[in-house]
Amino acid sequence: MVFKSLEISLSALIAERERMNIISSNLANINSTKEGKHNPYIRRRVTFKTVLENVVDELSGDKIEVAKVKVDRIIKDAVPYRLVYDPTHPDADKNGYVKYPNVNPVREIVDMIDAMRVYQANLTAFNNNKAMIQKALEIGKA
Amino acid sequence: MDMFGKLNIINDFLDYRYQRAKVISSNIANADTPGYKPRELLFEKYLKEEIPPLPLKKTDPRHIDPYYPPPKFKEIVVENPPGYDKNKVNLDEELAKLTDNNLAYQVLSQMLMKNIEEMKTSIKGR
Repeated sequence: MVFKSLEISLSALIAERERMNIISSNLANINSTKEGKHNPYIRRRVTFKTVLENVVDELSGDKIEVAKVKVDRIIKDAVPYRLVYDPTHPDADKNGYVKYPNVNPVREIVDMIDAMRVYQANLTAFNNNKAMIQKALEIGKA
Repeated sequence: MDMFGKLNIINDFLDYRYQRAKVISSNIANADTPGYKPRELLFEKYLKEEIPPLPLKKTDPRHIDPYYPPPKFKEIVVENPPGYDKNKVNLDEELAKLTDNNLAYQVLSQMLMKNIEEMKTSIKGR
């Protein structure tokens, strides 16, 4: 993209949307006792990675380091499963316990609010940058 | 360089921005089309590789080759890392690209206007 500042904000928007997708998957599968063959759904979590980029400033010639963000990995959370006693459940083990996913709804909701706020903040940064560029165009106008 | 050389360069870039806006818009329009892959318009990269146009078959030595204006842009299909569904359009990205493109268009159109103004001034004198 032509304007680097917009590109930085965009990288965060994409990353946060990805995070939101994962949170939605976790919440949607909160009662899925089967993923694949045996085990229940395992909670996913997203890790972010900084992408550094060197940009040469057009006016001063200085090298400026900008930091974009990117989803690094989607990992499976190691928290143990929830065990619920329900002998009539088809997925119950021989002691009558059913393994439920290790998803904690409170945690997911908190994560979701955080993702939403970060998204909003980056969108605001994007729009402010856009307004700045448009203002700069007025310098040239007679 | 001819008299309006500078204007022609700006013109080409404006044209590129205009065509690119169309490509990005069609990406957004197909955001729900299953299996659609986003398109991108290349400009700078494509100028480096020149493809000679196909000559016409001549049955008479007096036949002349037609003139093809060289293509300035190339539309390509973007291969993104696979997402959750078959469609690969990222709405955030496309909208941001549209904004970026729009701002660049504004910058270029102002440059063009300024250049024409300069020329008018030199014609009229002060």
